[in-house]
Amino acid sequence: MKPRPKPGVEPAAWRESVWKGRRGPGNPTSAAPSAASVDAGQNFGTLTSEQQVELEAELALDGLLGMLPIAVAPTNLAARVLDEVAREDRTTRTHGPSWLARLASRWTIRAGLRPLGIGLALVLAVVGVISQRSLEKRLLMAREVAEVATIPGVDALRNFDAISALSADARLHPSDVELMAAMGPVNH
Amino acid sequence: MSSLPETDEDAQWMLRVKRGGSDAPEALARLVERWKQPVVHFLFRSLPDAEEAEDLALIVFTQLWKSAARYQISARFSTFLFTIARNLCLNELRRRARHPAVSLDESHGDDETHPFRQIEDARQVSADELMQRGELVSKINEALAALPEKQRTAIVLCRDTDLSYEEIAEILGTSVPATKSLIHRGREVLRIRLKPYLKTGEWNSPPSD
Repeated sequence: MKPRPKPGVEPAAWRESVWKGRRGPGNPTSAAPSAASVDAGQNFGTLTSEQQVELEAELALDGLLGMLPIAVAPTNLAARVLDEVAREDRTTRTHGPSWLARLASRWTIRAGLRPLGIGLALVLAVVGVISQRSLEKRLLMAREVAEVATIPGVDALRNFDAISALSADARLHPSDVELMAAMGPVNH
Repeated sequence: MSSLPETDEDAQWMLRVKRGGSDAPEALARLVERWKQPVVHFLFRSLPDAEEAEDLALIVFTQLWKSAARYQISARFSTFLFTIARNLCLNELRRRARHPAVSLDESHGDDETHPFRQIEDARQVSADELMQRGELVSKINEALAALPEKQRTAIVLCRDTDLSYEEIAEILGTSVPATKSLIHRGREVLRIRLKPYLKTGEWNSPPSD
């Protein structure tokens, strides 16, 4: 039987005491007492009329819950559990863990972590060097293109002074004059 | 009362299971023997089908074996066990909700080969009273089953096991005041649903959880 609170208990305690019930699967034969058989005021100390009504309702519900069937656990459950565990163990041993499980196993991760890290660092270093060289090459090309851009544009050639300046710069080398003189009869 | 009071012994047996030595199966068997009744009863209250509760209890203890590596000595064994039981029970209820099916075993109550387990002592009860009582029990079960899962679990664990409010709160993943509130509200709903049936025999099927 469930222990009852002594008279004069805290109001909240009687409710929680009723919630705990009087019967369980460990004691399936004891019938739950009906609400009518319980003198609420006597068992739970001095209660207000409102509390007494609530207590009686709680006890009535407890009586109803006490009518619910009891499931008796099978006597061979432990043996069945051990059989099941042994069967699962055998299955695991026969088939072994899947390659994915092995890959994901802690041992594999620990063992593979260092080479994986080193490999990753090497790849990153190589990629870094290649990109640096590529960047340098691009900068050089850009610089060369910038130098070519300083030549006067086509518009500048329309300017007579500019053309004259270009002609003045175009002086023939003495060796060229000699060569042209030597080739003179052939050309004619 | 219902479940056995938990002792340090349970934690010790569980640690043996966790270590997985040659005595692990024996330790598991001891734990099953000690806790099978409250676990089966809890599952039966939640499902409620005795055979399915037994089958699920088998799965609960097998899962206990598989989850042994996660067991910490700081955690109470009962909390660990009932958390597994509740989770598996929830999975089963969700599966049922997804694939509703009519159980062929539901007529066990009238079948001579499967005596009605719900009736405790029918020696001095007339057939009429027996029938009325059977009907009342089915209504109580229906009202209980229609409660939200947390309310039902809190009521069952509180009434039918020796777990403290702290342990129940841990299993439900709530605080102690919230657990007490769940019990209070659940019992209130049960009273409201059953009252008209008890007074006039009128029964309105509750909305399912």
